Amino acid sequence: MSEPIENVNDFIKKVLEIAFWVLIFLPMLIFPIILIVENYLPTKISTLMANPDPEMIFALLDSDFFRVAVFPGFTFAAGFAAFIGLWERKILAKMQMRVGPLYAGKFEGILQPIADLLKLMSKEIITPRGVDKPIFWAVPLITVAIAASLLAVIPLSETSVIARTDVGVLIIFAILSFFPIAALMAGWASNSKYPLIGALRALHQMVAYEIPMILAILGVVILSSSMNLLEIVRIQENIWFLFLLPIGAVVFFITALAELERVPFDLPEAESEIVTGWLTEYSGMLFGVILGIAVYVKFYAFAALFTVFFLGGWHGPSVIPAEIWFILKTFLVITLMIIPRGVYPRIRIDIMLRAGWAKLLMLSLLNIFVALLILELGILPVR
Amino acid sequence: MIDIPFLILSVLAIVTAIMALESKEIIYGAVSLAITFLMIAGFFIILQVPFLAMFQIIINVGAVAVIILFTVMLVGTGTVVATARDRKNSIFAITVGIVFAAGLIIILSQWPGAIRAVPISLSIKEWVGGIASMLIGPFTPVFLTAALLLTAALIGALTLAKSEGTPEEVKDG
Repeated sequence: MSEPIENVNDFIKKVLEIAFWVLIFLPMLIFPIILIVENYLPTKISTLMANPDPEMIFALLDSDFFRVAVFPGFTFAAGFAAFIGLWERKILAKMQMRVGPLYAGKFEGILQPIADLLKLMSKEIITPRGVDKPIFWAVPLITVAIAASLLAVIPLSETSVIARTDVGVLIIFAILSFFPIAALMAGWASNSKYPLIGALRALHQMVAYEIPMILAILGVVILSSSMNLLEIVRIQENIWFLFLLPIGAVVFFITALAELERVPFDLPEAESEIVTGWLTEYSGMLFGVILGIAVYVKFYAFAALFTVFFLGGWHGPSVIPAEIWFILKTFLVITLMIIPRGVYPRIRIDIMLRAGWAKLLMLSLLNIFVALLILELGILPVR
Repeated sequence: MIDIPFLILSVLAIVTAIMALESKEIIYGAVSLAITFLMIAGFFIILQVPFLAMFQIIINVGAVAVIILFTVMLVGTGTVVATARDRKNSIFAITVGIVFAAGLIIILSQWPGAIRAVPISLSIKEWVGGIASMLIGPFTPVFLTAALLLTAALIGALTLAKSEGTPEEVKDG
């Protein structure tokens, strides 16, 4: 696109040129990729396109690939994440007597995520001169991969779950330990003051709040005597763990806010102090990938984990399907997590660390004590 | 019988282990070390012991690699170049490594358990129970010694940190 377009002739010429290159490259690149990928699917896409058969389509909907890529997996979570972004902006606007996004889409700016996406995609990606390029470019990919891998263990219902594993809680702990590494890598590779400060703050905060979070989940594990998330939800059929372990629920909620770097714990990306923290040097779609997809998918995953551990997962009157119950509860948790952003100021880092190491740790130990007491009194049947 | 995931994991583990030792920038070494630990967790998953795999990730990636990265970032500018190696030492190290590997191969090839692949299908309760009864049963002295060693290391680190005096100025990253 070097020459400026001045008249219709030029425009038609340009369009024909683009069409020519597309026709050249499409068979060369995209069709071989489809032919390779479809070997890993239960049905062949090329066969399906030639003669559509409803049974084959249903088989595709029931496959592992569909689960990972579409429904309980990534596409659903990313779409939900985009919606959370819009919902957050609307709620904050209403709390501050503003209107929020209004013009994109006919109703209350409902197409604003798509407008944001197009804006970010059309922006230039700047790689600053001093950065460490391999790590700098790897970080967006790594953050999205870590956030998305949390989705594998979250059960939306008995049937729509990706991994039915016995070590679900341990997998969550393992994935939690990757987030500070990604932040540190971003902060170091950016070769700039603010990202490094933000990354060190992120490390302090995540390490300090990981331990109370793990201990809070430990109470749930003690009561359900299983580390399988499906089993944890099944045992809450009659009574949610929110009522049995209220302290654990509060601790998990607060530590989730801290792990998500949300207000009042948004020190790693404090806009008014250190630009955007460890995201400062990222621009264009790289920033969009980290903030728009990774951070909000992580947000959805933590809200879903709160639902699994304390709100009884998919259980509810069977008027509505189980998945819808789960999504409704998750949505409620997300709304509760957004509200502090409109209410509280950012707290100082020493206060935050002292609260994490001293108070929340004590509370989570108390939570374990309560869980053991409940087991001893025999309120829940021991299995 | 060589399967593809095992091959990929082994190649990546060896390459990243060599990178962790040989890379000029320390931070690349630290990141490669984290990837090596991850690949070893992958071996545990192939061997159908997800419990051990997860603990490998939690401890080695979550704690050890983070501490190394943190130290590298706090101590230097990050572009610390490894000093020129002593050639005699490296030859000695390579010889010892080859002898050790040869010894391992000879010993393992004579052990019947190494060749036949035993598919393990135990539930997590049996696994955790087995590990717990081993730790509290025959391996109690080892367990206690390791705990004592870690406590001593912790106290030593605290003492070193205390006696440092004025905190060193952290240079710009």
